Amino acid sequence: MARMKFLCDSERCISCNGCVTACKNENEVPWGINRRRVVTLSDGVPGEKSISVACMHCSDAPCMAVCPVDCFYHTDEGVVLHDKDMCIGCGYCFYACPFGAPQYPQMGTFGVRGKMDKCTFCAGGPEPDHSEEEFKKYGGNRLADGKLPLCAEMCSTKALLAGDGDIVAEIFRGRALNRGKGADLWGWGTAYGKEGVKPKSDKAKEGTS
Amino acid sequence: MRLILVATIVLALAGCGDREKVVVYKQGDYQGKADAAPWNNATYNGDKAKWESDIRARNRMQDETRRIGS
Amino acid sequence: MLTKKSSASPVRGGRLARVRDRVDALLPATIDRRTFLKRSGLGIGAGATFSALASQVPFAMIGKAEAADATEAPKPGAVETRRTVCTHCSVGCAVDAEVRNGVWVGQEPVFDSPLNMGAHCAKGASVREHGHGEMRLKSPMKLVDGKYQKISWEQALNEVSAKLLEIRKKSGPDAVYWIGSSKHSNEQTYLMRKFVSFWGTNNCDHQARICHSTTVAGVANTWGYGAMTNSYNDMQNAKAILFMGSNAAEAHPVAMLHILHAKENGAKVMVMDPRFTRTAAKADQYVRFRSGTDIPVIWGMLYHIFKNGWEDKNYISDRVYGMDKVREEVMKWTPDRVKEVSGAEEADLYRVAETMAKNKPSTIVWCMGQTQHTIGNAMVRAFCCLQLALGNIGTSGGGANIFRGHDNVQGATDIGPNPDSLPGYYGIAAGSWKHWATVWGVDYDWIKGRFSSEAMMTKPGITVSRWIDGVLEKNENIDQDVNLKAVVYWGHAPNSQSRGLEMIEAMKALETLVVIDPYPSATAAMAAMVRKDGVYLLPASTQFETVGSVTASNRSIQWREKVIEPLFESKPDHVIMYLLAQKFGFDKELTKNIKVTNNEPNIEDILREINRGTWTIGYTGQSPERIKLHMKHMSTFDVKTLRAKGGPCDGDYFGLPWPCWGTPELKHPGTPNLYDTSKHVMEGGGNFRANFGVERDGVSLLAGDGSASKGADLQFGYPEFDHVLLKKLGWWDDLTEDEKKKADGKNWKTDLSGGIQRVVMKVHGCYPFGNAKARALVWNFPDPVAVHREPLYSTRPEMVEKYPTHDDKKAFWRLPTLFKSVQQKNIADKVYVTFPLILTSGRLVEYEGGGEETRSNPWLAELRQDMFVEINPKAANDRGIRNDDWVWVKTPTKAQLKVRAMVTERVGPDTCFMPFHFSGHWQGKDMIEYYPEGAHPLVRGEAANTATTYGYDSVTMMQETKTTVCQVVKA
Ligand code: SF4
Repeated sequence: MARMKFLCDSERCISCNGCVTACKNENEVPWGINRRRVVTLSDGVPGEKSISVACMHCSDAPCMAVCPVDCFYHTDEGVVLHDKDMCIGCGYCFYACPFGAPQYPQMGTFGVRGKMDKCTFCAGGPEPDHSEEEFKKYGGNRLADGKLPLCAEMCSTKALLAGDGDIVAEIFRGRALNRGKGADLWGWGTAYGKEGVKPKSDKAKEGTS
Repeated sequence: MRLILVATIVLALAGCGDREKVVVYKQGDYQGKADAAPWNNATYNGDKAKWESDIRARNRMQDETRRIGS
Repeated sequence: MLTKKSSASPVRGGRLARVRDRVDALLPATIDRRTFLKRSGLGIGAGATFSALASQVPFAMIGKAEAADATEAPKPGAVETRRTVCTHCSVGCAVDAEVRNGVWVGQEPVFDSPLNMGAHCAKGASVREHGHGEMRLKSPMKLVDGKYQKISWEQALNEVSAKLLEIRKKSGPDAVYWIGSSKHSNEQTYLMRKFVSFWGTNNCDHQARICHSTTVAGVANTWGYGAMTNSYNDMQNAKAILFMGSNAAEAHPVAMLHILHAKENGAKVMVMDPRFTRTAAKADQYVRFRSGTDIPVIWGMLYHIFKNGWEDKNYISDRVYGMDKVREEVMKWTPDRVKEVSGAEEADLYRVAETMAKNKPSTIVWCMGQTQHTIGNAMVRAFCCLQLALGNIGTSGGGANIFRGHDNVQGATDIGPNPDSLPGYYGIAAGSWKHWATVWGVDYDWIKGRFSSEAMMTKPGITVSRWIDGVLEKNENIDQDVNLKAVVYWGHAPNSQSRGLEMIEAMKALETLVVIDPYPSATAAMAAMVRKDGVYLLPASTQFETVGSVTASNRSIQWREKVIEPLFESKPDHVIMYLLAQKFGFDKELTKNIKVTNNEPNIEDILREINRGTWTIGYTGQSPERIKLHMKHMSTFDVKTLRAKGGPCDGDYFGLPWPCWGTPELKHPGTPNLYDTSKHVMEGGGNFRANFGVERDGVSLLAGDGSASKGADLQFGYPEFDHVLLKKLGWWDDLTEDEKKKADGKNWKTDLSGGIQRVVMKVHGCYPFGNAKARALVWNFPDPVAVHREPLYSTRPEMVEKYPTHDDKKAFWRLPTLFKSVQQKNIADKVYVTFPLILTSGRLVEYEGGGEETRSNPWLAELRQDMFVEINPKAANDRGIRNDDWVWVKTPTKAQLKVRAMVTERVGPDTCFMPFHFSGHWQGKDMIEYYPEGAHPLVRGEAANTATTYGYDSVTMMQETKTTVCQVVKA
């Protein structure tokens, strides 16, 4: 199995915020904390694009690298988690994270003294699975039930995909092939050169549909 | 060596009747509680293969084309 | 900030703990123990924990309710899954609710649903919060000395019924106005129409009036039924999709799953709208035009279609009446003229027209952007004409995909509280009353006796858009004996109706105002702002706390299981109806065919009664058993066709989309796409309805030779079927003896045996309502061919001169209705100088309707905390307004709204946009003190409609909210 990954397809994302409320629903994240957010660029003008952003569960996670108390860990499936009992709420990971994923609650069960909170890939935390402690500190644990993050499972247009990186890529490849382009995928341009992959070609189309 | 250090601190604090407040850690290594793998629970009883297979099946549900047919 | 959680000591058991936390932290001191137990999940199967807790809880009794729950509850602690449907829009997304110990603890996506395949927008992904609903109306309340006070149900029912009966005695049944709801289940909405009829009035209405009434009237008069012809799913078969006045990405987000799928498979998506919407951001082409000029734009497209000969000539000659008249009007709309009026460029319209014509099947979508105008009925007909010219109606991938708003607005329109019709569009003529009297098992004369006169019984009631005038208008001007003295708001927001300033006056003038709703709603706060007493609030349950069926926009009917028991002291709407009927003394008649247990009329029995009576639109085949079977076997339905392949529902279309003809035993599969001649009628095929006679001015209105549904015995146009026609055709003997007895003297709509429908369809393959042409020319409407008319409040005086509005009307839905006099006065007063910006309104994805329910849900409310007005950078700079400034939006009603400026190119320099979901601020003032304590929405803001102006559609009394005028100044 590959690592667990999120992928947001900007061609599909309509910024409906379904992922944001699904996360609230599953993890009962308090008001003011958003583990996931939808970012819209060129809002209101042609070219408008949205993507949903949360912790990307980096392989070489900057948060992990800078944490002064080393409260972060990678699970076997590649999910980046942390132990809130150790977190000192310093905010260093907030600086390091390229996506603004870490959040600092004012109060409440999610982080007494403003401990850091972030997306867990619906994998809970280091407390025993489905325990009350785990839920209080980290939210739901869907992975332990053989399910995937609710944000992606409920995405209104299936823009947000989550799961085994191989399968996420497989789903996305099929889709990209179908529409004959991949250039509009977020970050694709950076990864594969400015122009991205070939624009719509009818050949690619015939291949699948 | 480290063990002894930790033990000393814990003992010293215990003497004050307080919980340990200062975390002692080793740079670069996760210092928190161990987490169980998602298949090590009542649902999966340690059956990693079954968990992986379930996750893959569940994952494919996000692919609406499988349901719609292109 | 608002939903702070306490760090109080937790109770065992994961999710329960946090429910407890929430209860501790959020609930005002008024929470009672029953509620506490319910919501903490401790009421049942948790005896030990309960006694441990009892000491902490300052209530010491165990009521009967808990005991009753205990018998229903499964094994304590076990998680049960109940299938329901999102209550926030007409897409009909299925929801699996996980319930433990009576508490809604989890929500899972239903990947099996062919409608949403697990997907949800922000609203649907947050419905579990309604199972907790801290800001709900928790008990009956009464306004005493300007403050809401808790009262018992008994007192509430006694006082409310006494007041209403007193008004009835004094002023007659028409003095009470009943505003029903598109959020009721089919059964509740049907029972409500029956209830109001037995009260003795047609003065009832619901949200459809102000969302799609112009569609229903315009479209039904064009080709038969007023509903969405195809489905969200079927849009996957389209090659081109044109949105006009619809912002699906925010209003029907999961529809976009199908639409974007179509797009990825090559369909062209085009959006024409005054505002660059989130839907436009996903389109291949976007065309901006001036709000209110839809007809010039559509005619501008048809101009190119006719000019280039792109129309479907065979289709038009076989299936359309009056297209030549349309063509005459269209050819007057040269590109120059279209541009002058609407601002749309010739090249753009040419491209859209060409795309629609050359990528068939192509479909159109419209919503409130087209319907909420003084000429809404004409706009939607113009759009229909475009599709008829292209031959797109009655084909998969084509059609007029008219997206409905509320989750059950389609059902409520079909069988609910409409002022001009009994359930099933039967109308309110004496014959219609007799039909339903038979179905209800009550005496026609008894019903007649309930009305003040036979004339009032057959006269359409006042519409919800105008109830305020029913109160305020001079008595001699209104077409009923008395003015309205009491209003019952039963699941309807007040801030969705225009002219808020006058509404406050009307609320002040009423004798009694009753609100029945899960939330106090803006009605409660508005009333308390201007009154000291005479207001009652009764807590209703949400659809998650009861069972019932719901009709999605595509006419599919789904079944909701009960997720949780009614929260707090709330009761399901049908229980409240029954309790009030008891007080009014017609409970026996109301439930003649319906079993009642513990004051709850049996929902399945109500649906069976609907099945027995609603022949006009085929609500007859959807028995509770069949619908429930569909809900269970969702995975067997194909997504693109909605048809089950194999399994227990083999051959059925999902949710048996109406018309699902005949009795359930006939096993009609439902109709996925209306008027589709390529299929046999028993496979969901059909044709246009013969509802307007057989000929007009010597021209046949029946379909052309060779044009009929597949396999029909009659391969030409034919009129609707009745016993006479059956006998003439020699088909009478296909009826059984029993059917003959019942069908004699009847027609396809009134034959309660279903025999006529069975024989016509099953034996002869014909369509019960005949086979006719669609009418491009609707001669019974003010403008038979759609013509452009400027709105009453226009920023373009020179356009008003060229395209003036209608003449004033005297008694129209019982009220005088002004057109020309308002428009001319506005020109004389130079309103366009003082208010030079067009004001329009629309939806946000996070909220629904009036918004009180969704703004009370913290998961949604957090996402949109400020009411705002969108204004173009040019308009903003001209006024010294910067982004996020507080501004006053002023309108000619003298209302002014304090909102934040959102400076954006989304709107053009001449237009401002406001969302209509906010309430709770009144012209700069927070109304929090007027809500019952602890039951105010978390997010409050100015209601757009506080400032909207006068203006109503010339057929349906739809309010004009999409084109009015305003000025914006820095606050
Ligand atoms: S509001 Fe509509 S689109 Fe959103 S989840 Fe509910 S039914 Fe689906």
